[in-house]
Amino acid sequence: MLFELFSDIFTIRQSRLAFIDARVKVIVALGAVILTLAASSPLFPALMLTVGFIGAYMASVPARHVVLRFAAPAGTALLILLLKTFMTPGEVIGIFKFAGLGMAATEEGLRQGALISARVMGAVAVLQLFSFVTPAHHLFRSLRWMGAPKGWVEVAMLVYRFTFDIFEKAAEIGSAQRTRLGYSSAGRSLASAGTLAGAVALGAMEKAERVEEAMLVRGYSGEIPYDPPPPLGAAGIMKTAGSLVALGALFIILEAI
Amino acid sequence: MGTAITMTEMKRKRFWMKVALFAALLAAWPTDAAAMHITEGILPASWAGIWFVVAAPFVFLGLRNLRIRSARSIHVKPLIGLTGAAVFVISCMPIPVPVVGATAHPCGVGLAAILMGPTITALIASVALTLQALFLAHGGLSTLGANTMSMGVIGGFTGYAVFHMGKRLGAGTWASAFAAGLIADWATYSGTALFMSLALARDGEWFSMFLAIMAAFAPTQIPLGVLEGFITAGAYRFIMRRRPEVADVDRLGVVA
Repeated sequence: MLFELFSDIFTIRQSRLAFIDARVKVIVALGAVILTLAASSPLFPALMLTVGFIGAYMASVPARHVVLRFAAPAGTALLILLLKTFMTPGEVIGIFKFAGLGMAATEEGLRQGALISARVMGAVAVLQLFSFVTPAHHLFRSLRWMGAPKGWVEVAMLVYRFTFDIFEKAAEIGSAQRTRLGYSSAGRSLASAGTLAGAVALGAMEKAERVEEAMLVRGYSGEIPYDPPPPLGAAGIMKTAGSLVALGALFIILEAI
Repeated sequence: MGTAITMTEMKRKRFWMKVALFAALLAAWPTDAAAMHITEGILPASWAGIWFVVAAPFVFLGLRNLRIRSARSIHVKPLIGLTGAAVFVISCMPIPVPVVGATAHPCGVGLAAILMGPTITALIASVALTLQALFLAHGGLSTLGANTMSMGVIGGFTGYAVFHMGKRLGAGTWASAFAAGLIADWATYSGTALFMSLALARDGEWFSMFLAIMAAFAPTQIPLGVLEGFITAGAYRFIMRRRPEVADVDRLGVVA
């Protein structure tokens, strides 16, 4: 479970999508998210959702994992649909009784709610598909290539790397606390949770010192060396442009329906 | 006149009925309280852009701070990376919330702000939120600006200010850390509720939407905020007992 924490673990299944240049995937994914957010009908976002599911299948991501990743956004999308349907003024299409109260659903609210919910699911599907087929270190390299601040990318790389260590440490301490009945009452739970968070933070600091020493003896001078990727090349540019044009064309067609 | 009053009363009654009903509906939803982060796709492009522009200067201040301190001491980056990972892990700790039979999670920004300072906290939050959006489907890229604002900036600066104000007013370290964790958590959720209601509401319904979202968060966030206060205070006390020199944040070279 720990190693399934980040979606990019599934890149080891070596689907065809995983071998595409990460820079192409970053640009196309950003384009798809922007178009999904700009859609004025739920059709384009629904297409992105379908593409996301098909892509996850192609990348051999287990169905359980896909359901897990989409559960929370799906809950949010449904709640937004309900909120907008019942809280937006407009032409009433039905009145529902709940706990003795009459709630009016409006056509305008339903339309707006369906659109926002579709955008949520479509955009989440794009990002999830991207992360299922892109290793994190390729993403960080692409972000530098795209001009993201060096300090930010370095911190992101360190956070990503150390999250696994710290999760392992938190799991060990939490297990030891449970063994000693650290969560057997409300008071003990509060004290244990505080100690756990403190131990995790302190463990992080102590590890930082050890990491610093290890990095220093390996020539660390305050900056992680960055090896710029090779030029994108004609093939990469063609793939990126082709994908963006295809997305744009689909967007225009579906918006016109 | 009588009819006008009756109409106004009816409207008011209907308004509160809606707020109560949707607050109950939202609060009873049996999922993790992932509402900490605004989900991808919720904000229209205009609002997403606005929050990016508003949050960016704080993240750049954090980066500037990082650059200056890194030039003085090369151990700062690994330390911030590890603290960011700690915040990431703390914000992934599922805590049962008995009121709704669901789990929620603390932010960790109150503790980070006390230890690292608010601008570094904004930087750490932006990194943690990006990784969560991309690899965990928590939050989103288009909502990154809004989420960084609510968690990293509002939560971080509030936690930092409350901690130092508490100490200045003579409250003990434990009480100040507790208040910092509590208020930072509530401030984060208030910010999230504000941003969501501003983006979702139309035709003057903003206030009812804001109240509905706030009321929906209340059953999880009131106890969770208290819990986060205890966690922050407990964690800070634990660190002070084991490594009291950490309180000297200038030594770490990362203060605000």
